[in-house]
Amino acid sequence: MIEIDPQKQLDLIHSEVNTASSTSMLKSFFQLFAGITIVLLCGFFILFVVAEFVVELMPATWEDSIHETLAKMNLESLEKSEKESGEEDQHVKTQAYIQELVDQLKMGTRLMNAPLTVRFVHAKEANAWAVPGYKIIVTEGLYKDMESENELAMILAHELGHFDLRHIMKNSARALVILFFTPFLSQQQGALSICERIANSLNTGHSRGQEEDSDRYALELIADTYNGNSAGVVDFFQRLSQVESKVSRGLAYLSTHPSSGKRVKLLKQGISELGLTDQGKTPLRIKLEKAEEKESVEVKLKE
Amino acid sequence: MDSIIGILFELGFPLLLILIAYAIGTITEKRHYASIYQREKVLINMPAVNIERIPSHKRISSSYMVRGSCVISLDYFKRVLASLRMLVGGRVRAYETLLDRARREATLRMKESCPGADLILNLRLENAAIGASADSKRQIGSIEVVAYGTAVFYEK
Repeated sequence: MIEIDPQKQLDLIHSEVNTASSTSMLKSFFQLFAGITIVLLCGFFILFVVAEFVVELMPATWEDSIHETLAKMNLESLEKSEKESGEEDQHVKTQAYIQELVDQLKMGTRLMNAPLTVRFVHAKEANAWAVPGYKIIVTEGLYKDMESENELAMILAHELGHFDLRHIMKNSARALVILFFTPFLSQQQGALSICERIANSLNTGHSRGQEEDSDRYALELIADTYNGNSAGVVDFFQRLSQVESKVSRGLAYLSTHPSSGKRVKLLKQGISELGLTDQGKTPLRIKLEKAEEKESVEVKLKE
Repeated sequence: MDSIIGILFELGFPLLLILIAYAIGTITEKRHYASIYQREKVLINMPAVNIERIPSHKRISSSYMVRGSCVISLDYFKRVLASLRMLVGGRVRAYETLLDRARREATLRMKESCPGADLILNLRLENAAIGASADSKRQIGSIEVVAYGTAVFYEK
């Protein structure tokens, strides 16, 4: 057998021609990542703009029938909360009181004839949100945190804003875009993950914008309804901003809502722009006892 | 502007994880290749060929079947890279080193299983996807390569 110098023989074979170097893989990754991100970002942006444009053009009758259909989908959870809240007399009265405020606020808006209904639910968490089907959910926790009727009216006007500005419809249209778009990527986990994250961040950014628009809408509605009285409109957000941690303020970019501090600032700016004045607060007609221990006041005013 | 910062936040963290995975994967791969080069150098005088007959008139003292197998997994970085590549097509660099390492490692293990053999005839290499990836068409996770052949010992 002929002995061959191993080093010489190995030098003749270039085994690395079959494989890629790790540097070229990293380069390839960044090229793909950037390319796919840009394409998805542009794609989603265009589709979202088109979807919202279609919603803007939608006649009010269509909007009502879509709300009706969507309401049926949410019926189960609502019925449950209705049952819970329907038991106590105090609850029924409070719900009727909030309903009265909503009815008062909706006069003079596009929603004048919309069947807006309030559901007052048992929940410690301070929250209020608008759901498809012209329903506004208000939690007991939120009601107990209210110090005046003006504060409550501001929050209800904010929720009305989500309906009047068609945020619910627009968000449903955006969700549909994502729903149709993502199954094409389900085979590619990496791309799907990028796609979801981009859609998510576009939506959270958009949602923060909607919240600010709704706040502005609420301010204008309050001004119209209460003859330019700005008393109490920033109080609730002011209290929230005091307990808001620095961390949550820093992570505001990941949130669907702007930080309370920012909301207060924008509201104050709006008050001076609209020339509103403090004409005194109206106390709440029905007072509910506040729980002794203060619950986490991380409040989200969802759509 | 807010949206752009939001996107950077959303993509930044997974990107960081991917880069950590890249660093770990690269170190592991480099170590493996270093071991492969070193062992190939030692075993270079034991040819493994795919012909079925002995190319000389030397007398054989013994011969038996030998095999070597190994299972190698993709790292997270390569998995993501492959998944992105499959969207646009082209050279899947991520799988190349995986298969190359697995084939060379299996061949080396086969050679190491018969120390002193003069030749390995009829070398065959087979591979299969195994583990969670075997029943999922979505992605390749781990790959098994089996190398087998006939080890031949000449009469001294």
